[in-house]
Amino acid sequence: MHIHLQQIIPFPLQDMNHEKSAIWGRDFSFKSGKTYGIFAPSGMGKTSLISILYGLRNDFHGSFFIGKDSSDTLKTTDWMNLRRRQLSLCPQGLWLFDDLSALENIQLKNSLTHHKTEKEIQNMLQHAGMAEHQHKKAGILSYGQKQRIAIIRALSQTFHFILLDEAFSHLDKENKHKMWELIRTEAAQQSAGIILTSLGGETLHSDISISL
Amino acid sequence: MIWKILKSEFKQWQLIGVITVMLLGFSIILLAARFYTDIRPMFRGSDLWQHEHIIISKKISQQNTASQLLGKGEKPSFSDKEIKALEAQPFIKSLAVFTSSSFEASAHTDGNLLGGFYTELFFESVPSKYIDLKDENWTWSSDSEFIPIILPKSYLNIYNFGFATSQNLPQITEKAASSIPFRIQIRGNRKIKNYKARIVGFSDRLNTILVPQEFLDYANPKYGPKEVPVSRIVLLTPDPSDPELLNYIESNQYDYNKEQLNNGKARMLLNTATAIVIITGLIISALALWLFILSSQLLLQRNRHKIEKLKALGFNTSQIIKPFVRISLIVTTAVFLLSLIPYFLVSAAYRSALQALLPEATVHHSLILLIGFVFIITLSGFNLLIIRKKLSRI
Repeated sequence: MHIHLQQIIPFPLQDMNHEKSAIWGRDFSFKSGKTYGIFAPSGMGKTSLISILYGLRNDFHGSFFIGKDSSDTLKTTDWMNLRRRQLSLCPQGLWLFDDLSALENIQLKNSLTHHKTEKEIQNMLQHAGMAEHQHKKAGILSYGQKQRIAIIRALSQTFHFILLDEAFSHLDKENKHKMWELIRTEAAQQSAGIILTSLGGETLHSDISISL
Repeated sequence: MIWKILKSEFKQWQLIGVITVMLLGFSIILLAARFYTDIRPMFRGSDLWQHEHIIISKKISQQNTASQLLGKGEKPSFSDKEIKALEAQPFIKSLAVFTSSSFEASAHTDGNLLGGFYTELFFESVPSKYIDLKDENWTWSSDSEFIPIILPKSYLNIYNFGFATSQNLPQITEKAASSIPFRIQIRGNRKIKNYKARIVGFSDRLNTILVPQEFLDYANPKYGPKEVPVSRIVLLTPDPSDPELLNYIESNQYDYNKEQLNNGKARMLLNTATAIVIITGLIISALALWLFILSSQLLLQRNRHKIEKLKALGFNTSQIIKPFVRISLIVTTAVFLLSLIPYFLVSAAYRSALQALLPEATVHHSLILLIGFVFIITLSGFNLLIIRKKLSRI
């Protein structure tokens, strides 16, 4: 599956110069199976791009296609289905529920499609070094711990693309690599594409580097 | 799990408030409906008239009694013109004249029953469509040897409490009286004919002995003079206590049964009182619904960000609305079950009094409760509909 962008410029960025941008105002295709690293300093629209691709905002010029569906025709219910089975997101704000435990946050997402078994979830928690914290309320975890939980949650569904918005910002090198391994394995299993944003300086391997 | 996410913003006192107010409104409606269905038969009683009606007759003055005694002057009766004028009145739906028997008649019991009871009597009739008697016997054809009779209840009372007591005869119930076979003999135009007869019903409001119209239509010309004057008329009217109607009756010097009118007034009063109580109950219920909607909206607003997150994770409206459905169900069930307490307590409190007045009264619990249940389900359904609409907009 492809995500094909056609001349997209978010309204807040329309007055800026996008000559050097590979995305804004241009045609661009994300192909599943590939890893895309989007590197840019803040304010260049990394989160805007992720939000647009995930259907969270529509204040932009141009349009894009997810598979054969145009962004102009997708309705709320279509987006619900896309978010359940085709697009996975680890948002910058993490969107964990503080009243639920770390494990419950993952189970909540997994309950939509039952993609992972309890055992698989436990294995991922183990791998991320979060097994002993899984019953703690998400609200009391450190930000780095929360990021790991949010990543595991994003992996608990089928997807053609996984969107990671500065998902490693609070992880040390070791944890970053552990999480990256989890993501790559899952994406490879599903032949899915990875789109990740970062402030730059990532040591992670990506097939294609894009600047905004 | 969605409930677990939303419940931290949930305030129990709000739920208790909603339940209390809704319970108040709902109990009032239930009790009013119950009371109304209990009391209503008292005004209808065992009466056999189909519709609201009033019976009028001509006033009898000393003067025309005197002239009748002297063999001069007519009996007071309604002329065709008067009947036409009555029919033309807007407050009269329809009318029927009473036909009186124009022959001699007597009744006696067979053998020793009631000590060989014998009496002279008379008959009257109105078209059978005016009479609400579900008795297949209430017909008569020219080859029939049997005459069904409707008697005023007061006649039975006179017998039971006056005659039977003083003459040392057995007192009899309505049912027993209905099972006594009579023989009726009619005489006139030098002919005599015997019939079997039985009482098929008692009327509270009617001071006459009724037989089927067909019988008098057949027997009057055969055993009596051709024309019988009309002395009483029944008027069907939506409201027998309508002042316009009463003025008309007074101004034409007709006579009517004032006690019956009181009954009509009491029924009107009952209807009005019930309506006021039910409307009060409905207003309180509407306020309760409003409160319910408001507190649901509040819960929705407080959880707005969480709901946004849930939607972003791929949860749809029907999944997110589940906790609200649950709250609605709890409120509905609680209100419904709690309302049964005042319902049964209050109805038990006046039950013995009611049974003394209306021994045959049956209570339609299931119907009232079913209606109540539908009502309350509608309320919570309405609330959920609004929540759903709001949810889909977040």
